[in-house]
Amino acid sequence: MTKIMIVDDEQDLREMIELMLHKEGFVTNTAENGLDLLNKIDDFQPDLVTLDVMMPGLTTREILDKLKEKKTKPKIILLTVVRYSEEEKQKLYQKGIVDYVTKPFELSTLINTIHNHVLRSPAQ
Amino acid sequence: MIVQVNYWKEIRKEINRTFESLHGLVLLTHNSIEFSDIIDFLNDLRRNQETTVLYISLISSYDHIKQILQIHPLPSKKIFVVDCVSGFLLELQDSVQCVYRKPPSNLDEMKNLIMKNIQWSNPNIIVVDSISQFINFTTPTDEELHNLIIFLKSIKEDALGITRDVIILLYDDKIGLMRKLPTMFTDVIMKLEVIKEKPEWKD
Repeated sequence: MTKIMIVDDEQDLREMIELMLHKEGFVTNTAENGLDLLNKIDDFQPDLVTLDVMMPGLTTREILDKLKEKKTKPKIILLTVVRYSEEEKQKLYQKGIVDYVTKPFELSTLINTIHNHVLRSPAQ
Repeated sequence: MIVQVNYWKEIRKEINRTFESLHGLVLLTHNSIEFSDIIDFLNDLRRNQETTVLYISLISSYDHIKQILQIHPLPSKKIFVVDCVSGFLLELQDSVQCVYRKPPSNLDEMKNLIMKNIQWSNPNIIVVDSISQFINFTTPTDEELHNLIIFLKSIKEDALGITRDVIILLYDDKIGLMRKLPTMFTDVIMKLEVIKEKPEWKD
């Protein structure tokens, strides 16, 4: 079973995404910020993380740096309102991000994006 | 007698009149417009005057803004950017036209960010893209509305006092439809709807 961790400071959004992912047959867990993610990641060992870009506390850059020190190496999809240039998108991919979804988004868009990545490389 | 009226021309004239006289605190609601649409809007403001724009971005990175400006230039405007998004992901250095700052976490911090950067850029026009990051008008709490009123009042008194021109606050109504417009302390509320679909004409 593919495990997905949803990281977002907005509780409503976290719960809504979790509900949808359950319906799709994924095993889920949630974290409300970067620190919470770092505390939970090695126990839950997700295959994929949906990561909100602007949360209080650790910046996304700090989260990505600290994730390198962890045993678990999940695929990361960013959830962001930010519009990046093509050059910046390439820099994001170099940092281990596999995709991103621009907010506000339709849940079906997020689900399709997740399926693109877990289908190509299913959980071991 | 048949009188022909070119409605489109009349509408365009009216839009130009509105844009030329646009002044004060403007709330611009939109349906998730692209930065290029914002450029078109800014181009229509003070079209024939040399103006300086301070663009506080919580949505577009400076790199993205630069790319769009190459395709859609702002001929009579000098633009300074406060990029509150790129620093979250990438390590970047300030330049003459852009500074990288942490995103404000509330409207009070947003006001401080505006005030600090007015001194740096000395703008005629300030754009905040966008206040949707701080308030969802579908289900705003009393506290959020109270904070918004305080924010609008204070930037109207302090920031407009310095720039004496126009402050544009963008609000993406895809985040939440504005049911009750915050008319108090705003001078103009505009709605910009960009329709990208190709029209199908029927004769």
